[in-house]
Amino acid sequence: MADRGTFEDDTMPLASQLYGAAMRLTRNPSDAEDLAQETFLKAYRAYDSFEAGTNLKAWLYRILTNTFINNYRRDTRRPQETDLGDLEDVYLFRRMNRDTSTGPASSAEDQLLDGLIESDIKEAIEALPDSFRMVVLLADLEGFSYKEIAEILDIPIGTVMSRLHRGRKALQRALWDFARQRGLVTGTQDGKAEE
Amino acid sequence: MSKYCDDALHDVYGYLDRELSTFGAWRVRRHLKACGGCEAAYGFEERLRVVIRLRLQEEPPPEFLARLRAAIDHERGNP
Repeated sequence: MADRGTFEDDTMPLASQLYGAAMRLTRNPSDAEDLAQETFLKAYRAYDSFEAGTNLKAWLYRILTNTFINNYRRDTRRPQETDLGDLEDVYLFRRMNRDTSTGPASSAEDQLLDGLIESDIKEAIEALPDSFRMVVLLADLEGFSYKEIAEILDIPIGTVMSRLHRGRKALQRALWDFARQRGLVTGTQDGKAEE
Repeated sequence: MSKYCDDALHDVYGYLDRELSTFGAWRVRRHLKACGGCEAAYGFEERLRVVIRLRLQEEPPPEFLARLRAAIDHERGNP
């Protein structure tokens, strides 16, 4: 059992990181701060029930995602695994590669990876349906394992893997579109036209 | 592109997430040693995820932590 007296010492080091996740989930600073604050207040109230020594970060993210699902989520449809289509593996790499037989030159990779700016990546993430975005953020931003994500979101591990695969590929398709708009790649076809 | 390439590329996330079995990871490494195309694809995926992670970092506004502490203090005073 955790001691409420140490709550701030224990949890505040994670506050900035939780704000970042809240920002990607709610898409705006004022909702992000409200969501982060609500998460911490709920955590404080429930801290007696947190088992000290277990995964505090995962526990806080569980409260964060539950609060987001209950209070902020606009996309309330039951997630369909087919929503995002099923793109080919290593989608972005293949798109860069399509017109060459030797694979993209590393300079072309550099141009793409250096040229994608912060707002491209944030917009691409924020465009994902909620249920996919949560899984991608927990894995790629926070570094949780599949098992931890399954526990945080209370979904089967197979669902975690399926959403993560589809979500990441959809993210890559969005990044490809940004890269084309910025002239970072010389592809001629729109990714969406090929579904 | 062989069947081995398809399998290896299908495993790219499992491998980079360190979620493959010991045997699965070994099979990937063995294929990458023999296949420059797949090795390049893995290298690209690895770099992409670093770029995504770095560019998604978000600093809260400067007063965020102070406001959060105040909210918790308030909660502590009004259980």
